[in-house]
Amino acid sequence: MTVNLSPTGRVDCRAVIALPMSAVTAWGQLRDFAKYASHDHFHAGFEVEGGRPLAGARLRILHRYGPFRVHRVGRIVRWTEGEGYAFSDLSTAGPRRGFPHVLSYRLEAVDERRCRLHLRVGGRWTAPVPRWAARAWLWWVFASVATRVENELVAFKVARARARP
Amino acid sequence: MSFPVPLLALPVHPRRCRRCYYVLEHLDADRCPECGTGFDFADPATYVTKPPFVWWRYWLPGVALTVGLGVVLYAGLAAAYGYGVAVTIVLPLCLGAILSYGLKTRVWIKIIWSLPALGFIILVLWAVGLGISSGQLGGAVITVGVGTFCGLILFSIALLPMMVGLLIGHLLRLRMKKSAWDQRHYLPVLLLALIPVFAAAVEGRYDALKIVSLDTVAIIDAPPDKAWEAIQFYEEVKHAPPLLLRLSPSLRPVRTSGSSQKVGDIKVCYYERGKLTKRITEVIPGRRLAFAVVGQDHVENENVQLIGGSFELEPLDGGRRTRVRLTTTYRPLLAPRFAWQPAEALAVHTLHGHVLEGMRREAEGVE
Repeated sequence: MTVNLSPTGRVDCRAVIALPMSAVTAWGQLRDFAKYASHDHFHAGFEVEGGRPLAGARLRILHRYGPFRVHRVGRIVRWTEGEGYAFSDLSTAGPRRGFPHVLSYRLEAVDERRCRLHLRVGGRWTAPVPRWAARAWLWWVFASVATRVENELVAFKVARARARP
Repeated sequence: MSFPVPLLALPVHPRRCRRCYYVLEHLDADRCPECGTGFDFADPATYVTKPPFVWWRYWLPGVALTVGLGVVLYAGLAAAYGYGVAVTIVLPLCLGAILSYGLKTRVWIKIIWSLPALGFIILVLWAVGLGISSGQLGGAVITVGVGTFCGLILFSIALLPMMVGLLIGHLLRLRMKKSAWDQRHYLPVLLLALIPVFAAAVEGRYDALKIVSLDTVAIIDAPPDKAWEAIQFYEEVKHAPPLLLRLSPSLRPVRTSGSSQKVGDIKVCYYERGKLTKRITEVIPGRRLAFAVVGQDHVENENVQLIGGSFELEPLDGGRRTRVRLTTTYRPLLAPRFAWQPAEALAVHTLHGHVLEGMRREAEGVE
C-alpha cells in the first residue's frame, strides 16, 4: 500500500489486494455498489441517479463525521462490467474544495482461482493542516478501507464454501 | 444543488444468485454470469437477498468490543477512582448492554457469551495484578489489577448487573432495528461506554467509608494463662493456612521481626509481597492484647485500610477453659458495601479462624 501526498496537495493512494478467488466471484460481490463504496468510514449512504449504478450516473453521498452529517456529490466516472468502477466524491461548494477525489476499484485476474483488486484514491487535499497530519489521516482511512474490503470478500468466500452443499 | 433525475437509494439487500450469491441487480441476462443458474426477478424463489451466513461475524465483533472495552474501562476507572459503585455495578451493567446490543443473536446465546467475556476481562485484570498490584499517585492508592480472591469476587458481583445489562441491550437492539437513525450502529455503544466513566467521575473515590470491626470467638480447652502464652499473630501460626489465605501473595507470610510483649513494641510481618507494621497499644496480661497497624505496604492496600486488632480472653468454667475473641478493625475502600462486605467478612473470619486454631493447638498441646 502506498500513500502519497505531494507538496501541492496531490493525493495518490494505491493498494493491491490479493484475493483467493476468481475475478468473476470477486466482481459478483463488488457489484454491490452501495456496500463496497460505503467501506470508507465516513460514507453513510449513497443515492444514485435513476437507482442504477452505471457510468455517468450522478451520486449524492451522505457523509457522517460522528454526529455531523454532510452531503456531497459525485458521479460514477467508470463502470466496466466484470472489471471495476470508479466514482468521484466532491463537495457541494465546488469541485476544487473539500478534498475532491476519485475512488476506484479494478479487478485483475491472475488465474482461475486468484485475482488482484487494485484500489486507488486520487484527488487533491485542500484542508489547511500540516502535511504529515494529512498523510497520517489518509493512511489511516485508506488502510481501513482496504482492510474492510479484503475482509469482506474473504469472509464471503469462506461463508460461501460452508453454505454450499 | 438540484438534480433533474431522481436520486434513489440502492437496495440494502440486493438480489443474489441462489447458488453462488452473485449480485444479480441490473444484469442484462437472465442467467448468473458465474455459475449459469437461471433467475427471474418476478419469481422470488429464483434468487436470495441475503449473503451467506458468517457465524463469527455475528458474534466476534460484539464479544471482542465488549472484552476490549471492559479491560480498558475496568483498569482505567479502578486506577482513577477505585472499586466503587460505578466500577462494581454500573460498568458490568453497561458492558452487558454493549455485548447484547452488538450481538445479532438470541438472548440465551448472549448469556452464554457473557460468561467467558466477563471471565476474560477479569483474567486480564488478574494478570495485570500479578505484576502491578497498586501504587501511589498524589498520596492516593491507585489500583490497576486484581488479586485472585478479589477477581473471583468481582466476577461474582458483576454477573447479576451484567445479566440486567444484557436484557437492556437486547431491548435496545430490538427498538433500534425498527429505527431509521443512521447512527444506531455505533452511537448507543459509545454512550453506553461513557456512562460508567461519568458515573465514576461523579461518585469519586471512596476514602472515608465507615470503619468496620469484625470479631470471631473460639473456646479453648485451656486456662487463660496458657491461652495467653499461645497468643500469636497470623504470621506466626505454624500449620498451613486454608486455601483462601493462600490465594494472594500479600497474605502468604514469610517471616516476622520485632516483639509484641509490652506497649510500644513494634512487630513487622513480611509476606511474599508486602509487609505490615504493628505497634502494641494495650497489654493486660491474661486478659487483653491490642495493637494498631502503623504501616501497610502492598498488603491489600487497594481494598482495605487496616487499623488494628485485639485479643480478648475470658475465663470459663472456673478457669478451666478460655473464651478468646479476636477482633480486626479496618476501613473498607470498596463499594457498594452490600456487594463487598460479605467477601470481606469471609476473608477476615477465615483468617481469624486460622489464628485461633493455631492458638488452640498450642494452648491445648495438640500437634
